[in-house]
Amino acid sequence: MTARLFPYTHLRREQNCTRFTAFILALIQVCGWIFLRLESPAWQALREQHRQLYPHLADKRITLGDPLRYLTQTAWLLLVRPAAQTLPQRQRTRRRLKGYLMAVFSIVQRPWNLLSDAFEQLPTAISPQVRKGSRWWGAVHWPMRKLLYIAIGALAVVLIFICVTEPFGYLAQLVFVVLLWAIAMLVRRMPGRFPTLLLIALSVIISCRYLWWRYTSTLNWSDKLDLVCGLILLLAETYSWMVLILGYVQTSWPLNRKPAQLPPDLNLWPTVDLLIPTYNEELSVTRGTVYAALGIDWPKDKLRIHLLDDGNRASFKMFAEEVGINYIARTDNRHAKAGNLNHALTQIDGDLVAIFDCDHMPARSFLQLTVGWFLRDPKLALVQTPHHFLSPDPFERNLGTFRNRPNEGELFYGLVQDGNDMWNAAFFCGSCAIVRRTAIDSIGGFAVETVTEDAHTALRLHRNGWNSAYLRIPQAAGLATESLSAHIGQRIRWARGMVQIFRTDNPLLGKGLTVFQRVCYANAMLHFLVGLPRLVFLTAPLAFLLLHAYIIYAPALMILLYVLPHMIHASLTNSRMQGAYRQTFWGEVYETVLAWYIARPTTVALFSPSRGKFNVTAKGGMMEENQFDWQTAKPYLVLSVLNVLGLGFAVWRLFTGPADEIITIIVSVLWVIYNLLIIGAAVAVAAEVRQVRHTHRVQTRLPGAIKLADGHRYPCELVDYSDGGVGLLLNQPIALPVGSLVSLILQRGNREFVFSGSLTRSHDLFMGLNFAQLPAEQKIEFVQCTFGRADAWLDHNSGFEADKPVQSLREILALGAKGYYRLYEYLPAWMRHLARPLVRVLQWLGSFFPRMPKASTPLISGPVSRS
Amino acid sequence: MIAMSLQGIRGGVGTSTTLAALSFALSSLGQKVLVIDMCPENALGLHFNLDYAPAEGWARATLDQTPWYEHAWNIESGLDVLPYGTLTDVDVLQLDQLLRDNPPLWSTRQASLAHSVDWVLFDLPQRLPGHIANPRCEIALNVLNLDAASHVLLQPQRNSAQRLLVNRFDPASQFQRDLLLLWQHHYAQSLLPIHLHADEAMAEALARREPVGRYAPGSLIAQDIISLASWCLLRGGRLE
Amino acid sequence: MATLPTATQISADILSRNERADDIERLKSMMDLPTLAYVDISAQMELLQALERWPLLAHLEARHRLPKPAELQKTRVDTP
Repeated sequence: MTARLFPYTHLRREQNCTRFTAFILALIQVCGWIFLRLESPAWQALREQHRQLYPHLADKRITLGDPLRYLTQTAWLLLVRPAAQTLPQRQRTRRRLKGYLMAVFSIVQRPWNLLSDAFEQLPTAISPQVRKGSRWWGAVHWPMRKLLYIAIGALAVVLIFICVTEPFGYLAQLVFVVLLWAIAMLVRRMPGRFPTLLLIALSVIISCRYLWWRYTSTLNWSDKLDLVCGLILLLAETYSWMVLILGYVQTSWPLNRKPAQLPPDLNLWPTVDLLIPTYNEELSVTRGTVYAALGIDWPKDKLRIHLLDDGNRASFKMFAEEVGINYIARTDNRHAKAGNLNHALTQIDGDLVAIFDCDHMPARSFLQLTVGWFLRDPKLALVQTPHHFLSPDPFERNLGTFRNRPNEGELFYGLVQDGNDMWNAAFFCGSCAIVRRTAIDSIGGFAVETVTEDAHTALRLHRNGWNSAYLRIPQAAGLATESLSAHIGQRIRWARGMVQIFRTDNPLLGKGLTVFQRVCYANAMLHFLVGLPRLVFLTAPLAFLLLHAYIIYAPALMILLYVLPHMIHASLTNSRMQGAYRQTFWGEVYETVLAWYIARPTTVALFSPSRGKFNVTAKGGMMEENQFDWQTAKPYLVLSVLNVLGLGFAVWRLFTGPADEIITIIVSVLWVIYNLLIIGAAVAVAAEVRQVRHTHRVQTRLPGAIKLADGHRYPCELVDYSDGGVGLLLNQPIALPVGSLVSLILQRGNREFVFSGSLTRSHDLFMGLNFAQLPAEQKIEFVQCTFGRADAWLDHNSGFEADKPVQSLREILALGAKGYYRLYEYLPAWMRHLARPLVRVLQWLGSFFPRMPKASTPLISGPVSRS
Repeated sequence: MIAMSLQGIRGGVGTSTTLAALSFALSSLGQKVLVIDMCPENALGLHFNLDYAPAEGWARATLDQTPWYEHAWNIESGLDVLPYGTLTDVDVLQLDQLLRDNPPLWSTRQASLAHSVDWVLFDLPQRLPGHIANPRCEIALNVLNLDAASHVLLQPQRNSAQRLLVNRFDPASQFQRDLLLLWQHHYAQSLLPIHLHADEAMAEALARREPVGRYAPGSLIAQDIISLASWCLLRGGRLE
Repeated sequence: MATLPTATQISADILSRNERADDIERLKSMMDLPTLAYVDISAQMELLQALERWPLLAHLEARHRLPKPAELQKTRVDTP
């Protein structure tokens, strides 16, 4: 009993506390026993949930700070405690408290809800009037209608002009932005495309107003340094504004094209040459693609598969002969991939040419879904489908976002291309596409002048009056780039190529393009010039903190009143338009990582487009161990050091500077911290996570069955597959020794296939099979039952979480903090030694921070005896 | 109530075993099921742990003009089995004549069952036209194996009201796969979308005198049977 | 090959489960293409090979059916 009331000896012996600590803690405990009825059931219940409610304290050695930690955690718990765990009494008080809060909140909330509900009902409510109105509109004669159009347009332009240019004071600007924000928040919930257009209009007005204000009243013409720094920032902002506006135009109305039906008579189907260009990729990567291509459902006499080997390798030639496809090699490898394709064009004569990179495995339905449009539209030159990646790209792997966040390419293939398609400006992306032979001949083959032959070819096709189409059905999947450096290398090539085209064959100039096609192409190319502006944003607040340059020569409050609405509206609008394809703020991370690296090559290409060499993206490798890509991360480390320096200057200025600069300093500090965290996220990407497998496992959920040697069969679910094995989930555990023969039954269409493999792993309901020994014929069938399925890549986005801008921001910021911690982990020993005290202090401070209580699952692990 | 019949395209394709398993599956899905053995072999009860060839059954009772329904065995709640009863060959022919002379015999009996059971399953014999034609069934399944013999028997103008149920499908067999493809091509309308796989558990179930759904509920064939039962329910729901 | 997660779980849409294993059915339902007429060329090819492989099948084909499967367009007819 004494031990329980005053656990001094227990603390001394079991927890190794010092005399002082043990005494104080024991004293606290005895006070607790005296003043609180700790033996009462309510307290007992609380003690039983100790592990869930205080997860960070449960297994910790007891120290002097713990009472404070308990205090902070308890305070936190009172605020956030999950309902399931609360005691009845607490629950009641909490409910009452919540009631009060809700009552206060509802004063605002209720009319708001009424209003927004009314807005949601609006389309149905006013549909009779709208119908009547449109009927009347239809009856109006064309000249009259034209006149009305012009009148309405002119009125709108005048109003927008006033909205953009009218200078406001603090109050007027505040009222203006709050009103626009309220409208945006109201229409945000309405379904359909009109609200999107309205959001775009609001965002455009606010952003134009911001830029107008920036140009007219925020430049300090009297100070040279101020002016130079201010102009640089303003140019960067102008660039962002332009990309924003062009992006709105580009993606305002995604087409969502459906496949066109092929004629029932197979004789009318065109002949297709399927080209698989390779240069230095491994045969093992190429094999799967060839197997999958062999499974494409197209009449055999109308589908010819060609392996284009720029490396002139005997093994490739042998493989091609083995599986019975055509092998094309050439003596030189001028103009890289484009040259390779052009060389192949001289040896083939099909109506259509399908192109797959050697690691992009086509689904069997690829041609039947895409070719229909060529028959429907005789001027159609190109059908592009998305590039889907079955392995995580460096961002996804290093940040752990594979399959739960849209990746970098998702925005382009999910939305931008669909938006382009609306304006007949879908680009050719080099792979997973099909082009018309006559069209490609009419422009003299694939473009060889730039390092991005695909986009340039598409541009030429459009200039020559051909159409293009985009079909947003993933019908092929490939490997993503392995390492961050390879990824960056690829992007540098794209960036350089696009800027080269911008210079040599500018889409804004020249003949043959519609206005919107010009916009789409220009935006695609401008997009790659992001490097310099991004670097400007990352260093802009330093201009004030380090150099004391007034980059935005206006009161800090006014800046906030202008810049915040601009950012909020852009985020809201983009979240609505792109939320499913890119979550808010993730673009910042992607851009930041690339910024430094593409800044130089794009600038060089902008001034001398002929320079720059072609580099092929290496794929199919593997990260042997966890490592930090110091080389890649270097510029970001420099940037973060600069920003930290800025923080130091901020502190200094805070104490020594004039009082009227304090708000400016605070705003700058916030900006610097944001920049630091974004840079931190970029640094986090550079911490390369080790890859466990050589072959990439594709996660899936396919019904299947297994057959054992004794004739018993069991249903199962295929949970993952790779080219050499599968993972299965059974309904009941089956104990089998490793190495047993197990056959897998898979279905494709309404046919079933059996693959005999051997058991490699068996754990509870999980079973791993190895198919390394399959005969060649069966390997083809296996690829066609897995990678080549028509539905293989359709639900890749099922794991994505919905975009919530605020949550997204929080995640990105947390990611930034994590980036610095990872950096610390990879530091050389002596530096880590130096940094350790700082980290310790931060960790110690962090240990007082309350945690989220664990879910109230029954306790399975963890010592039970400790109380 | 839905009446359903299963008939093998020839002997030995696993009709009775399938019927027993299906009846068990339907009853486990909450249906009240009555299984009626129409075969003079009188062996269906074996699948339900009943005696081999019981003397009493509906056939005997029909000839003796005693109440036929008294001989049903209750296997478990919602699953009853009515045996054929032991008959001599002459008796069988006599009964067949009787059934042919009195076509509505089983339809009236089915009508009298309408309120007490949800499903009546008939295990039909190969020959004996009276036995085969007498029950009026909403769903008639013809059970086949993927072998040359079944294919040959399927060739002449077949009874198109019967739907085809493939039993003992082994996708590892090239010939079976090929034949199934051919049937899918020719009999797309009548071939059931569910095929029953070959599974050792099915053979063992009879040896254990249990329906496969109880003997090996986790086996592939048990799952196939559940799928078949679900298909029946869906089909029955449409018919009713 | 149709499988249910558990024996007792009855689903009214067993065909949708078949669709889960049937990639073309799933393509149609997920991409909202109910009218897509897909020609399963690989099955047609296999069928032709089957007739070459097994003389009995070819014999019975020739005897009972005049149009050969290859001349018929649609192999996949979806049973209700």
